[in-house]
Amino acid sequence: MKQLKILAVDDDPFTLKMLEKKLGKEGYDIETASDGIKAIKLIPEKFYNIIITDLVMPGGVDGMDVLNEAKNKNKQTEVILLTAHASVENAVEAMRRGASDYLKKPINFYELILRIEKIKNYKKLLKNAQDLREAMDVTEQNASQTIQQLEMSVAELQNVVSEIRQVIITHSIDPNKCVNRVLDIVSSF
Amino acid sequence: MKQANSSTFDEKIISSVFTDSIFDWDGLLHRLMGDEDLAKEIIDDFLKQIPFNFNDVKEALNKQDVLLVKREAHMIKGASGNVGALALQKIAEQIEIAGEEKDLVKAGLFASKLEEQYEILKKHIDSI
Repeated sequence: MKQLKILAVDDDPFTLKMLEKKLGKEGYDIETASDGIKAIKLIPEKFYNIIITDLVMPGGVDGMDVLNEAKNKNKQTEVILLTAHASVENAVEAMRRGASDYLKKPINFYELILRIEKIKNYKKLLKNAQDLREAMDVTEQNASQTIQQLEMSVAELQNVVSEIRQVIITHSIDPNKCVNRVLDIVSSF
Repeated sequence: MKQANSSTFDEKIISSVFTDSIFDWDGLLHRLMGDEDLAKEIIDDFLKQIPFNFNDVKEALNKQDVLLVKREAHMIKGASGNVGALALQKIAEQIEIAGEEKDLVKAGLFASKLEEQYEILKKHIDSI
């Protein structure tokens, strides 16, 4: 699978820098936005596999808004929410709105990377299932074509056999003529 | 503070409890998967940047803007918590709570401790 495109959104510059540097070092293609307003300007412009966003941000666009915007743009984008106050209510609400995960701040990168890889594996499985389905469709199509061709060949052979039988019946008196005629029919097949 | 009547052992315990709560280096290092270079870089950034946020709190206090005081204190709290500057985080939290209670005098009292705590933090980090 190609490199994952990740957008990180947080108004705390130190968290944002950690995300940018650490995920960059781990080989992800990472972009950042320093608040929700900037994030929802970036989202329509390109596809992100994963958006990691802080829940509480100033300026009127919070993590839930970023989540909604991301899901409206493309359902394939997975969203991980970050918050200093991880409450069950918040988590449930975020999941209900389509977030794939919920992480407590300060960020533990072991935990974050585990969740990113979980999403990556899930996407890989989905893609494998889709590839398999497509391969199965092609195989089925090929098989039905082969069967159709075989049926046509059988029909043609039956024609040849009945023509030969006809020749043998009508030219039974002259064996030479009979053999020549049969050879004609067979070579025209 | 050294006291003549306390044993070295007690002092060690007290000072370790005290310094542990200033800055959680091990915690930061663990969260960054042992990436010491990045941990140092972040701390460096933090020490350079955070005094500007102290000024923002003071300005908000001067303007008597409770909402702004809360927002700036919240920012310092989050940033300190993120890097593991636990004592600063606690002071910022107290400012935020005082803001919540609309008690700007109390908020001002805690805000006046920010710089002092910052100097302690800086010395502590230099000693690591």
